[in-house]
Amino acid sequence: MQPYVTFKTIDHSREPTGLTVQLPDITPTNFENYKNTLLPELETLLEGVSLLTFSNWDFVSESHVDVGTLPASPWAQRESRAIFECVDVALGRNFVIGVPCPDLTDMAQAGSDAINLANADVALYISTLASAARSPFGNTMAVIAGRITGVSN
Amino acid sequence: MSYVTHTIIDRSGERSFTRHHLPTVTNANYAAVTGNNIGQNVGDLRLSLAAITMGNFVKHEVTAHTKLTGIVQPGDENAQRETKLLILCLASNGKRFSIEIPGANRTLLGQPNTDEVDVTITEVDDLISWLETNGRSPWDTAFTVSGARLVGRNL
Repeated sequence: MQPYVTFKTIDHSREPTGLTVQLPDITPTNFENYKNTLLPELETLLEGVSLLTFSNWDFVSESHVDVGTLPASPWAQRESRAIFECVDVALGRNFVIGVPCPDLTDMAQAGSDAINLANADVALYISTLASAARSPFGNTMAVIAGRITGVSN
Repeated sequence: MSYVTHTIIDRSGERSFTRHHLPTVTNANYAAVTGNNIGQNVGDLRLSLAAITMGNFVKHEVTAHTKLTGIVQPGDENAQRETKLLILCLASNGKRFSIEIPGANRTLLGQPNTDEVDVTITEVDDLISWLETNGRSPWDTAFTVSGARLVGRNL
């Protein structure tokens, strides 16, 4: 799948609306040109023909389809979820990451819903979050706890 | 703000999502952050995520930049999503598609006796030029705009 930009806005009735425009391949060469110049230009051009404002947009630069076969295990259910409680290292603000279909053989502990953070697979995930991911506030992050939870619908 | 969204399918065929924020993406780190190989941020996250979930990946998307400035409610009572500018496009592979722009400004775009839009109006012409130069069809081909008209939506 190819890159795209999605504009999100509301109309005078406060109804949500927007549009999507497909884009060419984004590379290390043209990324900032689209982010800083071309997409703001498009925002202005759209507002030239519409009475709405288009100042909120998501620039999806990579979109890849995976094989997506059904998992073999009957326990692979989205209704089961691992919640990792995280902290922004710089700001001290907390947030959570939810992982669907958790492999409970990796993380469950007897007598508790707390996730076993010392399990090798869980520990790898946590260390990868610390190195490769960021908090929603843009800083490095750390996992402070995890729990096995579920979703009801 | 940058993030990667993984769509995961479960044994029941239901899909769910998990989102991980990423370092700010630039030209310099684009491949290192958005790449799907080991040693690249998204690739490492996918690998470690796969080890703790029993679901299978269906899709992943990297939102390399999000612009959030607060949604502004337009003051003009004619600013309605039910009024649209339909831009008709012809991809270079011969397939047709369209782009719908909500809240079309009929004061600017409307003509008597027709719903067709004059594509030589400066604002429309500039938009078309941008789309033809910098956009792509849903089939990742170049495209040309073959016309535009004012339409509506019924809900």
